[in-house]
Amino acid sequence: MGSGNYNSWKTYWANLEVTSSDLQQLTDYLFEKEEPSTVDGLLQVLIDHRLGEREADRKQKLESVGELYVPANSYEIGAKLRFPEKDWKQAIVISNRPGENLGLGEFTVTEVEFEDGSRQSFATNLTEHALNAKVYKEHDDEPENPSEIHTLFAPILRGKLRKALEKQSELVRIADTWFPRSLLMDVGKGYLNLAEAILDAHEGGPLSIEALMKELELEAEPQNKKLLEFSLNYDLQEDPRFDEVGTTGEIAWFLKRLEPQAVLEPPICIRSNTVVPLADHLDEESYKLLYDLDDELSFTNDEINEVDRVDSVKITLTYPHWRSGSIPVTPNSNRVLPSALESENVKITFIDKETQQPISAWVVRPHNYAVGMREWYLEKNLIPGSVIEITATKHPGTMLIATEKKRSNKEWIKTVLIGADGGLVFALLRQPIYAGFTERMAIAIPDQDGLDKIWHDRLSKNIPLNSDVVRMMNELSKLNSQRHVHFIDLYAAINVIRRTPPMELFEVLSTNPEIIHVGDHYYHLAEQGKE
Amino acid sequence: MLNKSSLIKPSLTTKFRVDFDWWKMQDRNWRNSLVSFMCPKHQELFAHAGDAQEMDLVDPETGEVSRGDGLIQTLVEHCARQEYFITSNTPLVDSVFKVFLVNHNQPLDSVELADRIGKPAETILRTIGTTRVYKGIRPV
Repeated sequence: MGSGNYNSWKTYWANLEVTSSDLQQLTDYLFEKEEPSTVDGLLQVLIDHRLGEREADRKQKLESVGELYVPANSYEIGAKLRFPEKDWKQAIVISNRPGENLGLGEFTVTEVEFEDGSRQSFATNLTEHALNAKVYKEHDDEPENPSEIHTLFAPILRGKLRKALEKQSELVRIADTWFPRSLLMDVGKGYLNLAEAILDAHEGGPLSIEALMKELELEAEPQNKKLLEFSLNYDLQEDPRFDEVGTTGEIAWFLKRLEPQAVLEPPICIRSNTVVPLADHLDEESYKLLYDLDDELSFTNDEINEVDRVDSVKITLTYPHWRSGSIPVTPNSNRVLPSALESENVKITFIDKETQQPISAWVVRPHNYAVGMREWYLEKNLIPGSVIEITATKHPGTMLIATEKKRSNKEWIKTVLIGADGGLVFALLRQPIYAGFTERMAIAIPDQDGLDKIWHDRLSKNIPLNSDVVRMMNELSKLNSQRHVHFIDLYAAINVIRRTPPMELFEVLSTNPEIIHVGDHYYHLAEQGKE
Repeated sequence: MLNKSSLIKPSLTTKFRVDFDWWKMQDRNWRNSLVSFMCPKHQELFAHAGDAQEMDLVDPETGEVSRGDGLIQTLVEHCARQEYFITSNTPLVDSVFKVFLVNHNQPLDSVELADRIGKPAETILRTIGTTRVYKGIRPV
């Protein structure tokens, strides 16, 4: 490209902010098209629009700095010209006269005046001259390339566009699709009541929008089908009775009141108000230790969502997830779990890899857990510390689930015993084992009811974490002669009685003067026996 | 008119070039000679153009226009660029003259000229190194 201040196009697209003018352009586009469009479709319109603006801007700039002198062209008096062969100097055309040269045929001699007042004549209207074919590169940067813009900047622009669309009110969204509110068709409350009855008959759902429309016997002209579909989706979305539970690219509806309790509200053992991200000041080894614990309370949503897909992942169950029949949604597990751009709760299915039996489950994005596997955990005789494997399939909403193979035998496992006074005691006892496990995380729970009662009793109390940690260290330290407690043992054990993120535990261990770090993530109580 | 260099006997390393000004003063027929070297199209155009030929000369690199002799510029910038300009059966003096037109009259010695026209350097020197000046070809 030979003109214009175009050297910073990558910076331009990287720093682009979606303006109200862009949104108006997109609204106009949707009004004209009369059909809903995905964010990607709108992004393409935005990029095309901005490219058009940039081209117009480029031309305007060219006019102000002057046109490039090319001998083949003609220039009117007063025109601004730039002369690449004269160090890009600018001049104004002051006269034109016919050229005289038998050998050159007809051409024009154009006299120009440079900014310093000097005058010179140049040949114009001259079809045969080497400069006519010369291409000038004014800047060292590559030319603006629309397909490269899309490749390089679509992800960042998509995010910005989504945010800008969420802030305006003229366009409404269903999943990842947008349309002007004023063009929506009126589906009518009667159809929504019917939809509720239909979903009720399907035990809540999920039903795709196509299936729901079919059962509602809602029909439209072919050209209005998408619009009707969008309008129904929108009315369902705005009605609190319904929940959109599809994975990315699929819209599926469920009756909110029939969603499992564990979806509507986090089960008591995994309930937490706080995410405690791993702190930057952690040394590399500690960071890795805490990261590998794979606790959903250690990660921000961005960290969880910005991961690359893999075929399968392994997850070690903690007591809270084992008890709740759930798995954490973390940067680890999210590599196989389905994405959902807008749905808070996503209906998924796990297939038992061994029996091929389906397990109905849900991903609860606001609290970063997937739930619905409690019966399967019990059926497989899993314990806290058991390792399960989740494998992606071709269908984003369906995954295989399996235990880590292990020959059945008995192992010495930390076992939680509940005293008559409700106090916890840890003892190493031989327990039957049916699946692979992570040794430090493994804890046998012979008295589930007793432990449930402790959790419920503790709900009304506000027991400081510090005292729980000291008490738990005291218990665990009795299990070895050196009376040292490893961080992972303590993390697994403390989570048997209270939901505790790794970083929060780490902070207590680092700041409590009663606790001494003796190296390699082992801790020691300064005054043993004191609680 | 003779200058100092004219009095020194040229050798194989003596550089020559076409001294157009000298030629114009010495040979009233110089213009017709030049026209004869032009391509057919320009021979026709310049054959009847007369002597007063100040024209608009266009710089081949910048497009700048200056006033000057259009005949020489057309010959150098156009006709001398044609494929058939130098052929094997051209007389030696004409060949040397054409070489200077093609290379924008950059000075060359007899050995360099020999490379370009395929004739012995000594033969070239014997022809253009005498006191008789052909087509303005003189030592620099």
